[in-house]
Amino acid sequence: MPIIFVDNNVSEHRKQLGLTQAQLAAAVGVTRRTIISLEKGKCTPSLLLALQLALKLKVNINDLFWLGGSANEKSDH
Amino acid sequence: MKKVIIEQIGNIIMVILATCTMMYTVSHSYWTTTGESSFQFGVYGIMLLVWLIIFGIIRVILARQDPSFNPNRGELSAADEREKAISQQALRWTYHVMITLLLIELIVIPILSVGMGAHPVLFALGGALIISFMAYLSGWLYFDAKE
Repeated sequence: MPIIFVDNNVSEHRKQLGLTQAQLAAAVGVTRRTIISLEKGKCTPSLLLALQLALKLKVNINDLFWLGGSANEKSDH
Repeated sequence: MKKVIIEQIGNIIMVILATCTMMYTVSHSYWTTTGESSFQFGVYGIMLLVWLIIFGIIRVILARQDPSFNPNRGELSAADEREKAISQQALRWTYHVMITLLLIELIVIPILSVGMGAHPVLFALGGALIISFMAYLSGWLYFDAKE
């Protein structure tokens, strides 16, 4: 059961709240490029940033981030 | 990204001028056993001084325009955790480049300086610094595009 990456659905939750990437970035104190990179799954956020994002997007952190890879799909949670 | 490019270009210009100034000083200055001495820095010394003032002003303007740029941290300034990670990766890359260069110079400089005096030493030291600045800049741009 290899853990390959941390997957997320930040993009979906952000769009549900009608926020732009720039607005979300400003709300959690990072650059827009960080949000872009995060949504593409290129970078893994720190626990602090993940918690901040969950708070701003009004969602449980487990629904926002989960372990990626074939054996760790979100549907398992 | 802009802050790193500006900072590294400024640093490279500074090292080029500093190397030229020191080469001029070595060629045109003397210090005798009787204590007589004369140190000349030439036109490069003036250019270096002017550049340090201009670069200082540019850094102050940059810090006002971009809050993520900290003049005390220079090229290590980071807007957030992603830029911090990029900076760390670029530093690792720069470390490898610099250590390799210095190991080569450790062997080459003594051989060259026997016949050519201090100039090869200054050239090698200045060159190593310039290549290190370029390595950090290229590393930063590479990891920024990758992440």
